[in-house]
Amino acid sequence: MDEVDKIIMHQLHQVDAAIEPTDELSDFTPEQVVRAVSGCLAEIRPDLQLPRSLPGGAMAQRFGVASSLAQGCKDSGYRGDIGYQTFLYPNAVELRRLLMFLIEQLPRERQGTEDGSSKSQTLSHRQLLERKIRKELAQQLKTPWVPQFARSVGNRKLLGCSSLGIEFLPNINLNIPSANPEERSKEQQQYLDQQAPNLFQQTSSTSTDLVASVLHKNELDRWGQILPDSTLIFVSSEDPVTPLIPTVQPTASAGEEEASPIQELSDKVQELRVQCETLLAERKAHAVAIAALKQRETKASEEISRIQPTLKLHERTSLVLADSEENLAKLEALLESTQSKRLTLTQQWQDYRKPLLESLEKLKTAKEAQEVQSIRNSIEQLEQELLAKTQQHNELNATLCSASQSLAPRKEYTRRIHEFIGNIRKQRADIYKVLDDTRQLQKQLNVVGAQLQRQFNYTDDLLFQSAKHDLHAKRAYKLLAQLHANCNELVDCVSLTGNVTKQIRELEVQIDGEKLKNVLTSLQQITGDIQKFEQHIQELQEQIRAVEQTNARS
Amino acid sequence: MDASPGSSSALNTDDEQTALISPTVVAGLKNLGAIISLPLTKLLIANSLKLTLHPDATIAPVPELYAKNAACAKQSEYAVVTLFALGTKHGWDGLQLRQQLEQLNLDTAAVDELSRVYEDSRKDLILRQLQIGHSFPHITDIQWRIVCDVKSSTSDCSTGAACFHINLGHFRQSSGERVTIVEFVCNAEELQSLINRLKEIERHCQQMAVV
Repeated sequence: MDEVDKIIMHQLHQVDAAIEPTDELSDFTPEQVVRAVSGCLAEIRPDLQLPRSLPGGAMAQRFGVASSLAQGCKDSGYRGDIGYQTFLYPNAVELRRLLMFLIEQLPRERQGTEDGSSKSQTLSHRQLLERKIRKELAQQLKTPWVPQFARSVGNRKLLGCSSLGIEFLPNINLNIPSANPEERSKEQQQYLDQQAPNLFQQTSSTSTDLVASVLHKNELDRWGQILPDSTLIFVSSEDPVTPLIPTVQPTASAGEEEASPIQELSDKVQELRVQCETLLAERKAHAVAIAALKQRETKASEEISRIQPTLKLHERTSLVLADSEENLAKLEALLESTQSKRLTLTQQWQDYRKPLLESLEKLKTAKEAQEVQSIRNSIEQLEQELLAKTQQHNELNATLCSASQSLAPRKEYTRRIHEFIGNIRKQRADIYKVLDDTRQLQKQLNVVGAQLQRQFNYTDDLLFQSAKHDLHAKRAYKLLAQLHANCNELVDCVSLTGNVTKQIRELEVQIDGEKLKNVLTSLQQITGDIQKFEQHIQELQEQIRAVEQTNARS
Repeated sequence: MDASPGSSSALNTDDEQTALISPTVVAGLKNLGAIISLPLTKLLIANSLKLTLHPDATIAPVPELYAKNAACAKQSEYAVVTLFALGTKHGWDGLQLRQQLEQLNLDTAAVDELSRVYEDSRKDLILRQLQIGHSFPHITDIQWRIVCDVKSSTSDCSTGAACFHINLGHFRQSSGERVTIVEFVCNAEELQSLINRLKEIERHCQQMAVV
């Protein structure tokens, strides 16, 4: 049963997320029961106004809520035993039956809609329309086929038969005299008076319908009113443009008269243009020359900078060569001094360098040690992480196993269902066998009974005849009658015993059923509630008395 | 025009409703009882109604209507038919139609006649208009033949392939005559595909109908 309970819990959780799933239905409190049942009923019949929860305090209110829910369940077709007690003192068996019924009744489209949009208790127009269409379609699918001729007869229309025999085909070019006759020309008027076909002639062809054409033309005329207005606006805006044309024309004629100055001016312009062009060409030539000169200048400066260092060197050598010996000695002295200077400098350099190199070594070793340490740390950390991860993995594996076990896969269910079906078949065969046996027995009984009856009648006749003459035979007849009566009594007793055993079995089954309902606890709850009621009544009476007393005093 | 100022809201709603009628119709209605004499008006209304209700029946023409002012008569015929069609469309009863017409300042006798005729034949008008369906044809009948060519325009000998010649149509409501809507030829495979599609439609309907 716990699997059924699980399925019920799952469904209830989908209906109302506020219902906390518990392991078994017997753990449901009255508040949860009310919440679950009213949630289901609201889904099944959204038009129904039902209380969503059980009020905490007053018993009367609780009773009212429970009664209204029970009535709602009855109205939606629940046939089992239901009343306020089902909600206030729930027992697992009844509750399971009720919830299974309600879940079966839940509308199927709910599953589709609840994925996307948030659930709304009130239906939108679109949903209502869809529901209507669905109803109509269901009705149409059930109706028998009717030939077209019979569709508009009688109440066929109620059965979803369409009688729309005429197609909506308007003649879109209806020629009807327009509203104001002043606009028409003489020829038009004459045509309309004499030759134009009337409305009925225009729509008499099979491809058009009179009413459709007329409605179409009317709509066209109505909405056409808007169009002429807009064209009028365009016409009026064009109007001021037309007087411009004559003003332009005089300027053109004046231009002819003043031909000579314009000619003069254009000649001048031509001249200036030619001048401008020659100047531009000159400018271009100059620019090219400037560019060439600049290039030459850069080349020359480059050569100068190349030559200058060699020139300086030459000057110095010529200076040195002027007084060669003296200068040589000077140069040697300078060489020596620079060598000694260089030696002292290298010494100094070595002095400075040594401690620095040592410290560098020290620092390098320290850094390496530090790096090693940090790597070690990170290794340790990673090890710890690995441990945690493996642990988590194990845990998840365990939960996965338990989940797959607890969810009891579909295969398991089908196997069980097959098993049940097999059992039921076997039981049915047994029942049929027993029934056959019973019938056979009944037949035998009847045969034997009839035989016995015949035998008895025959014997009775025989003995009765001889009893008239013989005293022994008389006694035998009496004994026979007694034996017959006793046997009848015995048979009655046996059948009575059978009936009594049957009744006993039925009662045992009933007792078992009642035991399941655990009457004792509900009885305790009921007595507790009655006591509460009494207490409440006493309080109320006391209050009434107090009020009466105060009234009497005043 | 000379309405009391208190009934301004009523006037507004009437304005909305009279806007349903186009100026051509109004002009045609104004001809009744004015340019067209009253006996002719009655004749014209009766004739228009007859032709509206029985579009396929052969009804004797009434030449005296067009003897004088033929253009006006044609306009008025259109106006009367349109008025009745609009009245039926918007579900007016005789009184509402009369209110509409009184708004238009028509001849009183013509208004009386129009509302009387409308009231008398309202049921028939409704039935007539109820029969008008979509502009797409309703298919209610199907005929077929299995055909095989002996020779064709392009070949002198038979191809030996059988195909289905299918004709979808419906029956005309008034005369019962059969009207072909679509006629096509297909081979067995294409026919199978069509049938499967139709079955799909049925399945979809059943799916939709399941609550």
